[in-house]
Amino acid sequence: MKKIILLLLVCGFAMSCNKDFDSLNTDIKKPKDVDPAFLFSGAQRQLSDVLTNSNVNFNIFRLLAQYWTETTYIDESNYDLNTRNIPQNFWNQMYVDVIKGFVDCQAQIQRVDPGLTSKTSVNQNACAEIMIVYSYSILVNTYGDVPYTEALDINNVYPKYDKGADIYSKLLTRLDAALSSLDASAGAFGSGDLLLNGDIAEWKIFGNSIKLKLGMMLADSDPTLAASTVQAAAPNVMASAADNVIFKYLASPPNTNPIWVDLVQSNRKDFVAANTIVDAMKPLADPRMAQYFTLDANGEFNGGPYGDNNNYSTYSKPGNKLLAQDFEAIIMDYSEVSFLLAEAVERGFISGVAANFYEEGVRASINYWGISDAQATAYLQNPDVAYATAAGDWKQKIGTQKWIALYNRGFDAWTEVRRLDFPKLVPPTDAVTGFPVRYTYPVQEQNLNTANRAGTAAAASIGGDDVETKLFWDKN
Amino acid sequence: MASLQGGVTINATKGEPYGTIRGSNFEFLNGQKVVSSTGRYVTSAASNQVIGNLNPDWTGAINNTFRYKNLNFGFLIDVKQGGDVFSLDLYYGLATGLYPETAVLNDNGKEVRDPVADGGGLILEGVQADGTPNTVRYDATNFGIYGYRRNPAAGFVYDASFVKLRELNISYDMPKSWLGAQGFIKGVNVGLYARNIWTIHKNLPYADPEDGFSAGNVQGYQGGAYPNVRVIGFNLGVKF
Repeated sequence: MKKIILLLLVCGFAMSCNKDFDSLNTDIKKPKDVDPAFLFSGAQRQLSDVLTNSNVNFNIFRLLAQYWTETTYIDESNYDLNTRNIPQNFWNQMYVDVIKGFVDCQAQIQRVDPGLTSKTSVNQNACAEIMIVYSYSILVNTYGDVPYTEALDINNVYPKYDKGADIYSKLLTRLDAALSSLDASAGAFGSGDLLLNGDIAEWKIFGNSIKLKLGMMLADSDPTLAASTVQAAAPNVMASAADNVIFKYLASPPNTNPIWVDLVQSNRKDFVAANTIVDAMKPLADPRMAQYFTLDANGEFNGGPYGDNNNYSTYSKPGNKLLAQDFEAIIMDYSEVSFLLAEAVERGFISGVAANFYEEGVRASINYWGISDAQATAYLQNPDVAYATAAGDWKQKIGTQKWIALYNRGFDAWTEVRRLDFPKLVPPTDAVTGFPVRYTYPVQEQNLNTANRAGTAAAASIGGDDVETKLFWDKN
Repeated sequence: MASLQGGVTINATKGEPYGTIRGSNFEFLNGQKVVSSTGRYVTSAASNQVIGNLNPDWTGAINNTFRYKNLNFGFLIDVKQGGDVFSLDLYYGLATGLYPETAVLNDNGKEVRDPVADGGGLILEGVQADGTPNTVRYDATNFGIYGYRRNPAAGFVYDASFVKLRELNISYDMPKSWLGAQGFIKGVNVGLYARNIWTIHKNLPYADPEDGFSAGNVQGYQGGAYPNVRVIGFNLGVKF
C-alpha cells in the first residue's frame, strides 16, 4: 500500500513538471493576440453604444437636439457639460473603446497575415479602415481639431492636434483607398461583422454613403472638395432601406439596447418628450409620433418645455418601441442618404430632382417605423410637408424633415442642426451657455496636454475652446 | 492625479506646487467677480484653472499634562492652517436647497426663494461686465442661485483650516494606603479619556475639513463627508 502511494506521488510530480515551465507566466485571461474579428465586433458594438445610449454621463445628444428633455435633474438640457465631465467621457469612449479597437484589429490582421497577402485580409483591413474614418469624423464633428496623426501612440502621451479640415481631407483619402481595395469576390469578418455580416458589396455601399456624408459636411467650408466627393460617391450609395446599416441588439443582457438599460432596467424617470419636437410634429399630424412618443394622461401628445423642470407623469415619454430590449440602433440609413442627396441637388453638386430625394427620405423614415406607405403618401401631400409648398428655403425644408427623421440618432441630429441651421433650436432661458455647437476639450486634455490643446495651439486654431465656437464646416 | 465629479481635478503639475485643485473659476474684473447680464456669476469656459491647493501652510499641536497630587490632567490641541477642500456636498446641497443659507431673507426683507416678481431673488455681489456694481436680481427658486448650477467649481472650495481639541484625559493614582499592606499590588491608576471632543474653529460649514476620499494623493475633495468619531474611554492600570 505504501509503495502504491509513493508511486502515485512520483507520477504526480513527474506529470506536473514535464511541460514547458514558461507557459505558467502567460496570462491566458489577457491574451496578447486574438482573432481580429473579436476586436472588430467589440469596437462596432462600442460605437453603436456610444451613439445610442441615453446616459447623461455619456450621450446627451438627444437633449441637445431637443427630442427629449429632463424631469428633475435638468443640468444637461441646460448645457452643463462640466458637472459630469461629458466631453471627457465621450472623448475617452471614442478614442479608447472605438478607434483603438479598430486600430488594434488592423494590427491583428497584420499579425495573422503579414503584408495582407489574401483578399480576405485586405477586405478586413478595409472594413476596419472605413470604421476608423467614420469614427474620426464623429470626433472632428464634436470637438473640431483633435489629435489624429499622433493619436493613440502609447509612447507619445502629448499628441499634437490636427486641424479639423486637414483630418477630413486625410479621412477622404483613406476612405477612397479602402473602398478601392474592397474585393467582393472574397469575404471579410463574416459573422464577426455585426453591422453587415461580412457582405463586401454592402460595405462598398456603406463606404460610399459615408463618403457622401463627409462630402456634404464640407459643403459650406470647401465647396470644391465637397462637390467632387459627393459626385464620386452619389452613384454608389444606399438605394433602399435594405442597405441600412443596423446594429442589432439582443433580447438578453448584457447585449441589449442601451436605451432599455438606461430607461427601463435602471427604473429611472429622467426623460420626457421635449415640446420642441412635439410642437413641430403635431401640426403636421406626423404618423411617426405614435412610435416616437407615448400619449400623456389626457390621451394627447404633449412635450415638456425644453430645459424646465418637468413632471414625469404629465408629459409624453419616449415611445415603447425604443424601450424594447432588442430594439436596433441605426448607424446609417437610406432616409439620411436620401436627404443628403436632396441637399446635393440643391447645392448643384449632382443633377436630379431634389423633391424626389426629399420624398424618399421622408417615406423611408416613415416606413422604417412600421407605418404604411399610404400614410406616408398622405403625409407628403400635406402642404406643410410637400417639398413645393413647405415653409422656407431648401435648408429649412430639408433641415426640418431630416431632424424629425433622425429621431433616436441624437448625434447626427445635433450635427445636422448645426450644419443646416434648421430647425432653429432656442436655448432654454436658464441655460449655462448659448446653443452648444461643439464640446469643449476634456478636462484631462486641458490639464495634461496643455501645450497642444486649448488655451494654446488647438484653441487658437479653432477660435477658442468654448461650446459656442463654430467648427470649421459650420459657416452660418 | 484624479479627475472627479464637478469637473474638478487634483493635480501634480510641473512648475506648480503639488496638489493643486483645478476646475472652473469665476471671472474677475478689477478684483471683483463678474456677474452676467442675467444676474449670475460668469463661469470660465475652461476647467483647468487653479482654484485651490490641498496642502496646509502649516500644522501644529499643543500637548500638555498637569499633575496635582494624585490627579493627572492632559489635553491635545491640533491645528491646521491653510489648505483647501472642494465640497461636493455643498456643490449639490446648496443647489437643491438643503442648507439654511438658501432660505434667508433678502435685501427686500422677503424670502429669497420667492419669485423675483414678488420681491424675492438675490442680487449677487460683484460687477457687471462694464465694471458697474451688479444690480440684477436673480431667481432663487428650484436649482437656484446658490449651488452648482449657477456657480463655477471655485465657489465650493473652502479653507480647510481647523483648530480642534483632539484629546482630553484625566486620571487618578490611588494612594498606596488604599492598596493594603501586603504590597502585592504596587499601584492602581484609573482614568477617563475622550478624543475628538470639540472643533474649536473651522471654516468649512457642515462638515469636518479633515474628511476626504483617501489618505493618499487624492485629498482636498470631499463628498458625502462623515463626521469624525468621538471616542470616550476608561483606563484602569494596575501595577504588580
